[in-house]
Amino acid sequence: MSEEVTCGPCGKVFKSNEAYLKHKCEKTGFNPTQIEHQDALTGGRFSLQSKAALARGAKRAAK
Amino acid sequence: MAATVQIAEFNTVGETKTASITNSNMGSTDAVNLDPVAYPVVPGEYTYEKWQKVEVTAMGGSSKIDNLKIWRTGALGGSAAHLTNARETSYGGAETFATPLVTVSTLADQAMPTSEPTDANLGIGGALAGELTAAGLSDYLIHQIGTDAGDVAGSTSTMNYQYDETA
Repeated sequence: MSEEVTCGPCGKVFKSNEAYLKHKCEKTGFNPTQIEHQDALTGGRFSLQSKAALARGAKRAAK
Repeated sequence: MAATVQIAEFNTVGETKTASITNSNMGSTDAVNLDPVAYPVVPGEYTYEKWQKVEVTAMGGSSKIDNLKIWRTGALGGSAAHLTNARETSYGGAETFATPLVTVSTLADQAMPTSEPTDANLGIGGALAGELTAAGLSDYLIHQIGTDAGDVAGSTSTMNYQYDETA
């Protein structure tokens, strides 16, 4: 398996996943570990999906 | 805070990874974010397989990501069939990457659900009950569209990748 990772939004290529995760994406202005990165790509929908995921998790944990 | 989750796609013999994809366009080339107009499918033939994973890049203080569900909403054109390895029963486990096929997939042999599955249909660590407690990746989601000789137009639909998150 290639270790290289391309950032889909900005197209930069990194030699490792660690390097990819630490970069500041030129398209979003955030790094891929930040929620803002996904929000920038989805018009803020990621945060709504994240809240829904947490609600589902809480509901299952309560059962 | 909450987890940051994205979809990664893997292409070519080198298993080249593109992170944070923004579409799952399918066509007659093995490439991420492909242009389906430039790479149409000959009626009666198959698209290249898509090999994708759900990727958690940061847990954001949460303790667990699990219960992965994959489905499509929206109709395909003509008599096309959308096939996948995602399944709620008799799950095949974590597949090992193989160069994406443009002939009929031997691994994506289930109909892609068109509504939210009742239970997880994509595994983590080879099991539908698997979970991520740190940044990492799901098993491979493999999917492909098979067209019919009478199909004359493509279509646009939505892929849904859902997870549960425990704070």
